[in-house]
Amino acid sequence: MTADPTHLPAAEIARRVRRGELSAASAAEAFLARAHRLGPKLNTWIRLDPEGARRAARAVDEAVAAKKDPGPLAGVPVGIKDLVDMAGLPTTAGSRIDRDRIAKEDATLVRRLRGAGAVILGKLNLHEYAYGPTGHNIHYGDMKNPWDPSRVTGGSSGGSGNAVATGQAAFAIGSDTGGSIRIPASLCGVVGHKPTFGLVSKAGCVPLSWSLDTVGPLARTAEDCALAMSVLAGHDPADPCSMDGKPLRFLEGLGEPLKGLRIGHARRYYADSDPEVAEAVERLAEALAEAGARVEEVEIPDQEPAKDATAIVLMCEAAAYHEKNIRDRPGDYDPRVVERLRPGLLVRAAEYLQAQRFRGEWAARVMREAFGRADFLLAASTPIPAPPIAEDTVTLRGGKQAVRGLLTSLTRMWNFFGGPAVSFPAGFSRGGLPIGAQLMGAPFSDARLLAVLHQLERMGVAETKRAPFEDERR
Amino acid sequence: MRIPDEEMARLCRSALGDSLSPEARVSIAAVLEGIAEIHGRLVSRLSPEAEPQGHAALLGRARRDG
Repeated sequence: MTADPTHLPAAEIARRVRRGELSAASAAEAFLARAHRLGPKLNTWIRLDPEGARRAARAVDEAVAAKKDPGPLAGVPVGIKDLVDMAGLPTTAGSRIDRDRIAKEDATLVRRLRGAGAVILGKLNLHEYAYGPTGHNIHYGDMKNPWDPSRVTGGSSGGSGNAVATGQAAFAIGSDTGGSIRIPASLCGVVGHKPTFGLVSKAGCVPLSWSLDTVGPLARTAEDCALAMSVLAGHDPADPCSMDGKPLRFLEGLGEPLKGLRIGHARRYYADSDPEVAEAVERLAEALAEAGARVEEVEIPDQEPAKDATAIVLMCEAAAYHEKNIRDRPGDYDPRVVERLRPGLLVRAAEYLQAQRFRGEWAARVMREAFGRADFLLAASTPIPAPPIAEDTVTLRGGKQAVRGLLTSLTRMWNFFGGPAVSFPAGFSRGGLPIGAQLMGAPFSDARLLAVLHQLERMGVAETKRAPFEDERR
Repeated sequence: MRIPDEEMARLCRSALGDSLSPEARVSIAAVLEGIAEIHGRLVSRLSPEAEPQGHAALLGRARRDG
C-alpha cells in the first residue's frame, strides 16, 4: 500500500478515508507540505488556506469515527482556480484589480465539494481574468511547467495544471472558455474535462464570456474526473445558464467496453500539428481500433468560420464584463490582457449577433455531419507541447507562428459548440514534454466520454505520470 | 475595409476615453478590420431562419432528450 497519499488518485484517497485506512488529516498535511514546498517554485497558488483545509479534514475524520457518511470525496485534497468564490477569501481572478475583493459566500461548486467531504487546500494561480492560454501572470508570477520550468503550463488554469501534475492537489477546479482546462492539461500531462455548457454551475465564478464559459476538473485519471463530476454536475437556479435534466451517471458507466463505439478521427482538424503530436494521436486511433471501436475519418464542418465567430463572441463578452475597468483602470491590467480586451468595446452589435446566429446553425451541422457518423471525435488537444515562457512565437512545420493562437487552435471551437471534451496524456515528445490528445462529444455525453478515456487508461495508452519536478526520482 | 484615422480616433475616444496612444489605435483598427471581413463571410453562410438563441435551444433540446 502506498504510504504517501500525494501519489494516490483522488478516488483511491476517498476510498481509503471512507474505510478508515487513511485519515483525512494526514492526507491534508501531506498535500499541504508538498504545496508549501513546490508551490512557490512553480507559482502554483495565489493563496493556500491551511487552516480551512485542516478544519475540513477534521470534520471528515470525525464523521468517519462516528460512522456517518463522510461523502463521496471524503478527505480528497482539492485546489480551486482563483476565479471561484470561497467565503471569507479574496477572489483575485489573477488580477491586481480584484486583489482585495473578499467573497461573501461560497460558489455553488465549492459548496458542493465541501458537502461531499472534499478538503479545499486553497486558491490556484491563473492567467489574469482567465484571458490567456499560456499561464503568464505579471501579478502573481508566471506559472511554470513542472516537466521543464522554463516552459509555460498553458492557461488559463495553469496553477490547476501544475498542481495536479506534481501531486500538490489530488484534483483541481479549472474553467474553460476557449481551452483553459484542456490546454494546461495537455501541456502539464494530466486529464482535463471541459463539461458540456450548462452542466456545472458557474454561480460565484468570475466570468470571461458568459455564453462560452464552463467549469470543470483537472485530475490524474478519468475516474477522478468522473468522481468530481458526480458531485459538481447538476442544476443550479443561481446560474442562468444551468441546464435542468436527468442526472448523468458518471461512475456507474465507467466500465463500459469500447467495442462497437464509433470514433470519428478528426485528422484534418489537427493536421498542422507538430509531427510528434500527430503521431501520438495516430497511435491512439490504432489502439481504439484494436480494442474494437469503429474508427473512421470524420470532418468537422466549417472550422475556420467557427473559429472566427468564436473569437468575436469571446472578445465582445469579455469586453462587456470589463468595460468599466478598461476605461477607468487600464494601467492595472497586464498590458497584453487589456490590449486584447479593448477592441471588444468597438465591435458592432450586428457583428456579435451574426456570430451568435451562425453558432446555432453551425452546431446543428456538427450534430448532423459529425455526430451522425461518430459517437466521439478524436484529435490533438494542442498542436505543440509546452513552449518556452519567454517566447511569443514558435517554429512549427517550417513557419513562425504566434504561441497564443496556436495553443487555442484546437480547443476554442468546442466552447462555441458547447459539447464536452477531455484532454488526456498521449505520451511524450522526444524532448520529454507531455503530448495531449482530445476526445470531443455531443452535448451531455460527458459520462460516456470519461468512460471511453477510462478504457484507454486501462489499456495503458493514456497514462498520467507524476511530473518529476524536484521529486525523489530526480 | 480600412477605417479612416479620424474615425478611429472618434470611436476610441467615445468607447475608451482619451488615454489611448496612436499605436494602440492602429492595433485596434487592425482587429476591427479583421472582424469586418469575418462578418462578411459569416453573413454569407446564414439562412434567414438563423437566430441568436438557436444554440441555446439546441443545447436545451439535447438536455431534455437525454
